[in-house]
Amino acid sequence: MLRSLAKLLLLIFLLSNISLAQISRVAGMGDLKFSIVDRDLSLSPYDFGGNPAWLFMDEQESYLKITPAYGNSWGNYRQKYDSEGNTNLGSAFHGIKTLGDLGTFSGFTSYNYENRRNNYRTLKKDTYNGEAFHFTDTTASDFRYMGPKVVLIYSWEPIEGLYAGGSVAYELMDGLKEKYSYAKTIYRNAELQAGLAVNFMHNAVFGVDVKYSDSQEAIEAQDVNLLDVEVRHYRGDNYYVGKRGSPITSKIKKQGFTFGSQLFWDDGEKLSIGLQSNYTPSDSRVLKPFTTTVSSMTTSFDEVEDSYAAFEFFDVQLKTQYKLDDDLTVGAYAGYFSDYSWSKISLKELLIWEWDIKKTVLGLGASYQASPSLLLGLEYEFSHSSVDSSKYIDNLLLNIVSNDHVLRTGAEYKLTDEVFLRCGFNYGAKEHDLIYGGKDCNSYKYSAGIGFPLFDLLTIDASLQYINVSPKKPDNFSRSYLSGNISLTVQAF
Amino acid sequence: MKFHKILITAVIVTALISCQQQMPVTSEGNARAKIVVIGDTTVVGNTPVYIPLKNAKVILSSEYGISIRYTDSEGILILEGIPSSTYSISARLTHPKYSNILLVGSLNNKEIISGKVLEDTIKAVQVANTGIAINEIYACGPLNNIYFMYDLYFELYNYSEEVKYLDGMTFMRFSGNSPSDGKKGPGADEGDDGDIDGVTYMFKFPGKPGEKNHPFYPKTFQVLATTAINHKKSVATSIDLSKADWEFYNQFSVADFDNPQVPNLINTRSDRTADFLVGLTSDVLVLASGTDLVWEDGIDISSVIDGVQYVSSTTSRKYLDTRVDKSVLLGAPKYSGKSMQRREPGGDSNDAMSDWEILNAPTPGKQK
Repeated sequence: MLRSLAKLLLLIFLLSNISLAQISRVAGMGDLKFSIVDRDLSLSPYDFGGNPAWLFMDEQESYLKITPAYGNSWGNYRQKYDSEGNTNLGSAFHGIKTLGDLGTFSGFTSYNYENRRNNYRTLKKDTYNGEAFHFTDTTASDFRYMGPKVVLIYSWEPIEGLYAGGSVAYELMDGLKEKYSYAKTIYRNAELQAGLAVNFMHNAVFGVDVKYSDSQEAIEAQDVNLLDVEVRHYRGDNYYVGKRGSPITSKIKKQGFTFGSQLFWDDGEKLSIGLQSNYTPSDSRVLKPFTTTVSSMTTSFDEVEDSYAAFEFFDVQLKTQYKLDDDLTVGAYAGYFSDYSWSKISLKELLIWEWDIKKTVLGLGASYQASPSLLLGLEYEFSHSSVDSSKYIDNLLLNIVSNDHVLRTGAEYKLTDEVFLRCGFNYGAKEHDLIYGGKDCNSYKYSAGIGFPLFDLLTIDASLQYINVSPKKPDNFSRSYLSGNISLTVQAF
Repeated sequence: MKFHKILITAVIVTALISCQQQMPVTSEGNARAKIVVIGDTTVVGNTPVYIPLKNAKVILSSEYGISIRYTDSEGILILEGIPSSTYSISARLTHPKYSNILLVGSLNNKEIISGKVLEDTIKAVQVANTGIAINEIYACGPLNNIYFMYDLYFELYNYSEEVKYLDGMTFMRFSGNSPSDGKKGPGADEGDDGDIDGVTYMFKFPGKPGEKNHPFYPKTFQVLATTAINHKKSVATSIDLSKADWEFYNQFSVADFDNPQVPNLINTRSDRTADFLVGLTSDVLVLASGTDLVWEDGIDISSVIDGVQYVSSTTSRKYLDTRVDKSVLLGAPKYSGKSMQRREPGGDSNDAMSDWEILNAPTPGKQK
């Protein structure tokens, strides 16, 4: 049995991928967001606001969670530089260790593998992230990324009622385009976060945190066949500076801060309220080697900032849950998001793109314990988005307003005392799909899950999700996503 | 209290660190230029008569590549919405009455910047409409540390709409007529007698001018390799020239390799026993019709089809006669693997500075 378990664990380790906040239970229940009571979905500063200081109070038991995951996407509804589909595999280990008065420690590590099938031209890891710059060659080919991620969090109570915490995260990925330019990417991202939370009036918590992130993506296309392949630095959508030769390099450096605050109140019986707000200024720079031919005998070489993009993100979110009685819990959610950016060509000091996205979200929902065995959930969310984009270099002005709707349903059925079956369904209607550009876009999400104990100290939660998105304009386009994960939780650690 | 001070200080410090750059006050996309193209159509007499060139082809070249536009019925081109950059603008039109005359002119290094308006005039002058141009010169050698430079080639392009014939044409290197001997320099008209002097090598296509055995089809390239072999076998960063269209072969040399699969240009000077090699970073190259093979007294300018002088430094002197080309091309650094190519296939306004660009890698038989 132990040998079989070891094989299973080894298989899981080899085949998995996932983020820190993988929540198998609600993933199987249609991703209910605010109407359901779940230990990983509370309104606390740690779960809701991401403040590491509250880890000490949020996690009271030690455990180890091993989560392999699989994801796949396909379909013709995609952006110009998207791949035909992505395959994701990964494995994550997340351990919580409570140390009594000494604090609580959280360790997370994962290894992720992503294959972008027939990736169209782009050599950037995140092509559509709001910058006016693309880095492409002229060919399509598979592009794979793989690498580890580590997150360490520590939280303790230095003074009674005051909680402190910090985290450090590091991610490293290497990418390879498997044909033609054989472009290589080394991507690394480092994050440091520190937070404080103070408990006041017995049942209220106020927290603040600050996070610094720094990432670099170094892209190098180096192959003798570059005689036939051109690498292009796009400024906007239409204009590019083409380069041929070997090697051709480019760097994208990003850094930013997030200043967050959280307010949490729980009356201990019926009502809990979580309020959180974040402000994130960040920037991104494209650095290119700059070669000047002074004469045939001398060549100067330097690395200069070719392009620059500034970002400002602000959000404030409110979640509340109220237990009307033992069986019925109602929840509400409100959020406001503001995302603003501008990009310039640094050498010319010219503004080439400016965009502003505002989004307001309102949601209502309820979960109902229909019987001792059956829990039902229903949520409705309305969002209003406005996009104002001025891509000066392409003379392209865009102003879009979209009213969107999401309906989520989910159910959990208790088959025996410890075995749970889950399912869920989402329907979404978007007036304008701001990511892929379609109009009157419908999305359908189907999910299922199961939770059961394997041994006394080992429980398993598995979930599977299938999403299909298709617009009415243009028609005959759709994209599908399939993802699944299995969480093995060892209760003693 | 002490804790709060630390906290406030930390927040201020981090806020300062995250200071972003200032947003530019000028946005891209508001550049405007008005280019008037006029051309000298005089055929008889010395007084130029300029007329607006309607529907003239205007080639805009910048870091963003090539863009082709046409003038309107008044010879005016209005440019709007183009990205800010330094442009070289050349215009060309076949003479309204004489198809063997081309009217060409150019503007170099013109800043077209968003928020500003550029107004300028291109004055086109007459050049012979030969239909063939030297389109690419790769002579600097590949990336290597063994002084390998034998993979050089020259590319011709037929930019006309008709079949041309290479029979009897000559391809020459000019490095004589040296200023150190008190002369004007290679490619200059020594004695002002209507020819260019200083021929060092003169290699010739088979046949005689006027014969039609070696067609050169419109909109195609011809690659002339010094040695038509796969040079990658010698140096990995080099190129494969085994499928070149022509090979320079010196029949007076005992060591020159001849690829039997590739037809030859042969040497017309028995006193020269080396292969057709040129300067890595500077030289003068001329393609001529072959009607004047008497190199000793210079090559008649009227027989010249195209010529270019590339130099190693911006301070180098220009020698090639301005009737062949009025400026020089700053060549590629030696052993850099770079190539010199016309921005547009066959785009010849007799102004090398605006017509040519440096490629990071050679492209034999095709345009970048």
